[in-house]
Amino acid sequence: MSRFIRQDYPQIGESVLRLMHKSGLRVFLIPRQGKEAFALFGTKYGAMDHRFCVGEREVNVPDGIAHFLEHKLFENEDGTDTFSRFAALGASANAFTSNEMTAYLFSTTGNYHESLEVLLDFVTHPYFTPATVEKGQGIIGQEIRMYEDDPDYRLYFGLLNCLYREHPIKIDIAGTVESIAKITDRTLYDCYNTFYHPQNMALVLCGPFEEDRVEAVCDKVLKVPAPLELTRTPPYEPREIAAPRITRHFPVAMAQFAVGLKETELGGDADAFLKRVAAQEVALAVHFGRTSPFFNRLYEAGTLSEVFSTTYQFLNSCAFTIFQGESDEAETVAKEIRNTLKSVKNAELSDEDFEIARRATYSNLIQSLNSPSDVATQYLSFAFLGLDLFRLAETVANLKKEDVIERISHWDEALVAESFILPKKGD
Amino acid sequence: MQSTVFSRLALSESLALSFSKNTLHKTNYLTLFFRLPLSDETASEASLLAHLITNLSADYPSMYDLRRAKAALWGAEIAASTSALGDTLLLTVNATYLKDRYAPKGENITAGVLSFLRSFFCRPYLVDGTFDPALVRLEAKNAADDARAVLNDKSRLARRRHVEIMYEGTPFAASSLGRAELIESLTADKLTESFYRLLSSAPVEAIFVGETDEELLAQELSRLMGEFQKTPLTIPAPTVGTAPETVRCVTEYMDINQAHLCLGLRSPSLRTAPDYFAFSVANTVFGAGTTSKLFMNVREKLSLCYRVASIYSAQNGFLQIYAGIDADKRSAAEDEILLQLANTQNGEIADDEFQNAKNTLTNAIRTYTESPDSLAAWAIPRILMGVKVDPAYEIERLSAVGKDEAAESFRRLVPDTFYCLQKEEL
Repeated sequence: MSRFIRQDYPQIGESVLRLMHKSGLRVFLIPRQGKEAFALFGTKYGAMDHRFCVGEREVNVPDGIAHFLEHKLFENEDGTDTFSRFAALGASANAFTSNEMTAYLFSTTGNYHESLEVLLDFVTHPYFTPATVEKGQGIIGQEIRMYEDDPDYRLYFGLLNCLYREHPIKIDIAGTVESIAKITDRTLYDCYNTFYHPQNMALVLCGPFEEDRVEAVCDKVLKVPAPLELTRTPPYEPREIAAPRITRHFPVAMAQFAVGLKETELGGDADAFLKRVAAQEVALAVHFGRTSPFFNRLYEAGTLSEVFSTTYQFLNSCAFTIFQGESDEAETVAKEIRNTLKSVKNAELSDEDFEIARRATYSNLIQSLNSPSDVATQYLSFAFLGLDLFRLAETVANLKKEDVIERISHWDEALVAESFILPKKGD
Repeated sequence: MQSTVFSRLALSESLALSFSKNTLHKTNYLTLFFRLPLSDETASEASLLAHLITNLSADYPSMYDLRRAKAALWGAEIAASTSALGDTLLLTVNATYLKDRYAPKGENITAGVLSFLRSFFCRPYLVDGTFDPALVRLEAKNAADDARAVLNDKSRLARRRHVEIMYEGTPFAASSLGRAELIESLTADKLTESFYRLLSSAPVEAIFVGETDEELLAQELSRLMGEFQKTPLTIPAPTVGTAPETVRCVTEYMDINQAHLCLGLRSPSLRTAPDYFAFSVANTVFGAGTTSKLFMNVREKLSLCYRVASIYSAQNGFLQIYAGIDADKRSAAEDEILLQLANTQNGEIADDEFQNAKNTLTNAIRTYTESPDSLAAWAIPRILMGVKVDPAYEIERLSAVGKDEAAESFRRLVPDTFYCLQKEEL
């Protein structure tokens, strides 16, 4: 009999089956009809984790090491190639590293449980040597060069370095050519042994997996380890921003801007967290979305284009909103954003404006639950924050206008920073 | 053309509907592909039209009101864009919207979407018989900015420059986004004329993926486009072109950190060719995916790059090999790419390498065909080339490919233009 516990979400047509495996690994199975399946095996370990304690020992590691480790985990002691192991089963593998997590994945349309076994197997069998580390420095060095020329990437990390004084969210995920040169096989093992522990990991499966076979694969591959000995100190971050703005010059066609709004009042339980996310998304749609007076006024004046977007990013220890776009008058747009953030705090919110924004937000959320890859990826991010992704749509559906007004009251224009990429002269 | 995923109905001489029932996703997907011959002029006009036609109508003379009406229809997204498939330009009007059962009040959203399309096509917002000149100026700036934005992504810029040089003087050299200066020179009169010419002469392929009444949809589309379809354009058949006698080598310079190497070759194995499936397998062995010879050797063995791939345009036989490299390792990268090309052509392909390539292709087809937007993207080049639009048939053909025929198809490749965008010389 299955030990998975099922929960249904009829309003959005989703279900999830949860299992706490004896190894300490949390397993989430999201059933889907159809052939396509997607699996993510992730660890709550990302670019932010540059300093940590293992027992009494404090460890400091070079920037970019989580991402470097992600690359190196695909190598096996017996010389077999991980991508080929998946391809032999008709599956396609990949991985990614973000500020707060690293995840290994495959997508497939058959051989689901055999592919799952390969995924769990290669992630739990690290093999690092000085030679493989040196090889990685060449490939990842090219990846870093690619990001150095990427204006979006530079705009983003420029902004984070203005918003945050201490918080490691501002650390570049890939690191630098200089920082990755300091990585050794020993430091990789230090990080691996600390963070790649089942209690610090989660497995999300979306597709036609069978619960009994999933548990059997976990039983076969995952050992029951000694308890996790990891101490994370919540990152210290003063309330104030680090710098009001940064400007860089690149070969780009038009000026690009990213305006950031830092948030300092975090905390609360999972319900409060979800309500904050839902209310922030609707508030942004009301005042900066496609139906807002702000967007339409600047669009019709030719100051803003369809490229404009707002993104709310949130972790347990930090949260911020990014207003991003391109404009010949980037500084004017940044000023308009600041003015709007200030003025809407005392403005009326009509029932109609609220309802239109809520519908658009709800629709976006439902549409984001289409493909197994999107569902699994979002689900894992939410799970590492202690949140249930499938409850977000319900939270938006039940949101009240007062919740949005309350959320807007937290917007503080003193916590705004700006990042600009301007065309190089002559471009 | 029988298919296991689509039913295809010719609704008129120049309008066809491909319908696929998909119960797996929460959204419906309806796309109208208007087909035009590709050139700088047609692309510039279409690119600006794409910015105009879904932004206003006589029923919604303000963008603000229109955006709010779409948001009120549970966030229905209706937008237009341009793209190219070989020498064909596509002006695409796409609607992506929630299925009725996910709308908390159970509205008929498909009817709402069709009503928007009718408003855009049949009742455009005109001032004295033309598009509003002020609006045309505004959107011309946006469309021209989009065309210039290729500069922002250096890998995309290099790949575009490579195409422009290799296909200079032919339709394929044109960007589907148009040319900024041509877009900015278009007037309201000219655009209005282009709009009506598009509706009255461009053949339309409609693709629907999702859940709705197929017959009703066909009727509505016939009624909608029937008002315009009169003298359909003939779209020229694609051509492969001829390579120069010696490989043309071009280097361009810019203030960048990474160099972008593009090698261009021509192949006669178009989507309609008997050896198309053999070529697809050979290209996957060579450079498509993480088990390819390029990935395993140029990247993994020699650490010369992070991104390397060979991308094939089966509409016109263009193979583009791309690698992001250090400029001082250009020769080493080029040598290794050509060595792996020769190995593939000589049939030096291990059994597992060959089978992995077939598995990769099969998995990709099965994955594409379960997702509405990727199913449409997968189907449209096949529809345009008049070949079978059937995943099961393609999987069967791919699995029957032998190693010798794959290598043979790759031996028919002819090198044409090698291009590199790199840091300015000191």
